[in-house]
Amino acid sequence: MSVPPPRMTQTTQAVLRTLLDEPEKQLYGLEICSATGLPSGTVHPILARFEALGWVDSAWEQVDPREQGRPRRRYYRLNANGIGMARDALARAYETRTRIVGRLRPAGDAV
Amino acid sequence: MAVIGPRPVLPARWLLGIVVIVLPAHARDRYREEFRTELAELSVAAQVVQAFSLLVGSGALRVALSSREVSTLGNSRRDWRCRLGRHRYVGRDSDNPEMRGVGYLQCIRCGKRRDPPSYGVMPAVALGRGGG
Repeated sequence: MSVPPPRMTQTTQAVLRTLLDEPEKQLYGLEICSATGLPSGTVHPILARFEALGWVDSAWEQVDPREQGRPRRRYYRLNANGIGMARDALARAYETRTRIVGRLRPAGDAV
Repeated sequence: MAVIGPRPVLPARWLLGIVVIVLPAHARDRYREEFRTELAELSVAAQVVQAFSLLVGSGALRVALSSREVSTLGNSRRDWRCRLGRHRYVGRDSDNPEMRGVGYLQCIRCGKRRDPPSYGVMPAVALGRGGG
């Protein structure tokens, strides 16, 4: 069985856009929180779903905590498959939103 | 494991302890370390706010982590009867050609395997309680 695709809520889209801004850059949880303006309690379940889908890879920071004077961080990054899937998912979400807004707009507003 | 660097304040650690208990056992160590690291980088007030946020989101995180577990084990693992040990076993032939005729029991809902009873003829369909 495959994990069902995530519901493309506004928060899910915000996390995806942050990860897609610089796909090659690894981000840790707090960076994603500050970039999206979302709390950790919202961001981490979304990241876990992306990991379950195989879109996101995560790994511990390769540093010596004693040298750094702090514990190691867990970094997240979209993988090659995830970049394509995330772009598709965002594009579909944008199309859906545009279609709904188009239906709601009064006929006289059409340009 | 020794904690290196600043530690979160006590209320944040308490909240984090509850968050970790909510998560599936296989993910606890990872998230305990990850969340502790993140909290330690914040101010005292922000640590408590962030820990509370993690507590609020812990249910969603548990569901997300469980979906990953289920995806590797099969859909039927969710069945409540199997969770209560009420498996529905059927007799199967062994895949090993050398073991032809020596079958096993497998739950048709969750796929759990069990050795057949060592006496008598193995039933085509055997209903019974799982051994945990």
